[in-house]
Amino acid sequence: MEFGGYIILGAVFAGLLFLGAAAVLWWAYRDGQFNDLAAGSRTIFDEEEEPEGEQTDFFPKRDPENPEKFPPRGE
Amino acid sequence: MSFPSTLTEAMSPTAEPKSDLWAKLSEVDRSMKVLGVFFVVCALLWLMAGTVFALVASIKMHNVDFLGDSEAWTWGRVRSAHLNAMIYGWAFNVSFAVAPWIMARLCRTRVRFTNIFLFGGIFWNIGVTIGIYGILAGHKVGVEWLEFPAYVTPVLALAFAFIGVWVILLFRWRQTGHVYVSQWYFLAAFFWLPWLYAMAQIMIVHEPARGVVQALTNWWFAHNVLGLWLTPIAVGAAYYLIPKVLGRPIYSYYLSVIGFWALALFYNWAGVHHLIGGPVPAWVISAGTVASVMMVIPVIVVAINHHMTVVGLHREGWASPTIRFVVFGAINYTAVSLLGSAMALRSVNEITHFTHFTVSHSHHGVYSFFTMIMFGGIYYMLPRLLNREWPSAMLISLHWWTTAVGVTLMVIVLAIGGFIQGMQLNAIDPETETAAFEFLDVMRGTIPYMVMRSMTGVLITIGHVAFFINIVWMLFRRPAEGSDSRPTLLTPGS
Amino acid sequence: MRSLPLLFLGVFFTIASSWVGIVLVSNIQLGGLEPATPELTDAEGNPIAGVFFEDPETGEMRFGLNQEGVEAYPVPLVGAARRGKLVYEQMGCLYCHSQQVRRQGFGSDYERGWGERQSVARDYIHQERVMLGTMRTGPDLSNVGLRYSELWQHQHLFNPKITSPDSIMPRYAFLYDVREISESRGPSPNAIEIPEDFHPGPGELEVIPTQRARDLVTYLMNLRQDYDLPEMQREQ
Repeated sequence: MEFGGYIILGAVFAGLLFLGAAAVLWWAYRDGQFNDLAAGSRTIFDEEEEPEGEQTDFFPKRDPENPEKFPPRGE
Repeated sequence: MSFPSTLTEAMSPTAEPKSDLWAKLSEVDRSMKVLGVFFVVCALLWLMAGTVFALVASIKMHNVDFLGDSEAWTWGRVRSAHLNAMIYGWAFNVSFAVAPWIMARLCRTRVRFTNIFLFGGIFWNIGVTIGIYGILAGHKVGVEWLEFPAYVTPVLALAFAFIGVWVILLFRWRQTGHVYVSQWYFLAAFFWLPWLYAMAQIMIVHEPARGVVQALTNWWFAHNVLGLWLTPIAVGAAYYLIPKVLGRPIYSYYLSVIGFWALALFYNWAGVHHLIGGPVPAWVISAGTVASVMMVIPVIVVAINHHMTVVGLHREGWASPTIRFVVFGAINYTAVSLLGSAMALRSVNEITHFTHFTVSHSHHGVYSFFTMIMFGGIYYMLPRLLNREWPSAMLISLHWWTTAVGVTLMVIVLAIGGFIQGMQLNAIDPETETAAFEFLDVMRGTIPYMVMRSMTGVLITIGHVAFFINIVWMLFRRPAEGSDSRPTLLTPGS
Repeated sequence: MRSLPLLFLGVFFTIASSWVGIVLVSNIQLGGLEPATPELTDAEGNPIAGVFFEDPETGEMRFGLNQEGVEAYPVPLVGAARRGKLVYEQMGCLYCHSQQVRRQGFGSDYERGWGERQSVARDYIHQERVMLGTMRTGPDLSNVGLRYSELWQHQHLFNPKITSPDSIMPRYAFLYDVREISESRGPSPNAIEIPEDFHPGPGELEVIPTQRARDLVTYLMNLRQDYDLPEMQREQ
């Protein structure tokens, strides 16, 4: 029933966890995990099929920007 | 090209030259076709079933005679059938459809061994079906969010194991250097859920822990299904769909890193705010309250990122069904989370706890936020998988307007009704030191709100029927060659 | 970030932290709770105030001991009450009724007469299914066994409007047998009295509770936190 014991144990674990997190962050930084972070945001685009700067979803048969690209059916 | 023929080969790090696996987006779409369609159809059927249960439960709240003499359809069971059909039926299946598809596209890899995933999916749906039957038949477990009878939960756990393992394998086959933020969210979600589910099942259903430890485990689990499963799936999908549809990269990638880790750190502590005032240690509640308030950080970060990406492109966004749904969901993510943080404060919780305000809040989260983003995901995904256009723009419009208006009204109606209910329940007459309102009078006061809730439910049901018709029409319509083969949104010629 | 192991490490530690914090630590704190007498004693048998006492030799804080010859609470449910709890669970009662009394001053639980004292963790140690509830569409039931008679419970279950006008509680008439009164034997002694307005057939039919209805009512009559626990002395 030593409650002090649990608290000390908890504090030790919390400390270890914090140090571990700090060490991992430091390693990640040194390893270059954070380099050029913003480049990741462009990986979703594909120059060939779905390039950056082009909208890729419209209501069917209604594409106000590109009438020639998606001409109404039946033409 | 020579692909490794066995699974073990495919898993070993050196088994294959990477270039062989790289795939075009349209190739990825094609390889995900069977899986995507299977899970969308399952999700759709569960959505419709859940809607029926919802309507019955809602009508019973103001008209007790409706199906009043049926044991299987008694309110306490229909309510659970609704919740479980919507969460384990609709939400899980639609997550299995949308998240792995986005994951595969981001990994740019040839998708293989899809049978593992399909196998898990089939068993998952068998499990959910038996589970819902079990609830109505009276084998339910009296624990919120874990009502499925104990005999189906191992099936569900095993099915999820197959699905989760496949998603992690998929990630291992990735052909891209960068890992996009959506992939973190999905990976984390597929890792968190089995842990949550296994722990909750063991400590509550199979080897029950002592007394209120069960209640703590229950809310640690139930809130984390929302926080660590539905939220990362929907936020991850929004992180992909918004920039993708608009063709504009996410506003700040740095913020997305902070947002992810803040969510991971705080959300999993937040659930115990459901027990404020209850017979549990005060320190747990305090920790939960602190974490709930800290959730403001990731929410604001995600809000800035999503909304700043859309800014200036509203007209373009309005022209896209996907963006309409996803942005509606993203706005509500901000709203519901900030409201949730406020509700975790003891003084606010004292009013809202035990009232319809909580019901409002849960629909705000699971429907206005999660479900709407998933609708958007399906509108983007299905044309690409099937290489077919959506048959009717009118039905899409109808779906959007009815669900957006319907759920917003529902959330407002229940919030107002719940708040008044909470104030009246707590009011104490200072002279007599007794409750100022009779309990039955407080209950009578909620009835008009219950009626209005049913009406908003009808509106939402109309939207679901429109969605159902559109998907079924799309699946069964003959894919005309040539002029008709112009899916929204595949680039011409692919 | 590109590293899968790094991601996993972070993801693992975040969930592990809350599992340890919320589930494991509270299990350590509460998992060992036992039934207790209203007052506890120290090692020599002298009454103490509250739950802990200081060991005179080592100076450690220790849990108090139960008084000899005094009944310890709570007591587990047995027999019909235990079966009735299952019916309560199967009917989904917990979605409208909570089973927790909050402290006086937080909400109006005390003023509404739902309990004379706050519910504490020790009240629930025997329950293999804890149904604290999160909704109060209907009133709290922690002490419902102290408020009403068995007849009231049966009437209320058969048709809630009998006892609570306008109630939106579902009726559990399917837990009752409605049958013709036997001509030779006369009315059954087990039949429950139903007011004429709500009676399915006054004078001809009678309403007999099934086993499940009797079990459920026994359970409801056993819902009572009317014993004292040592925690209360500390709170007040």
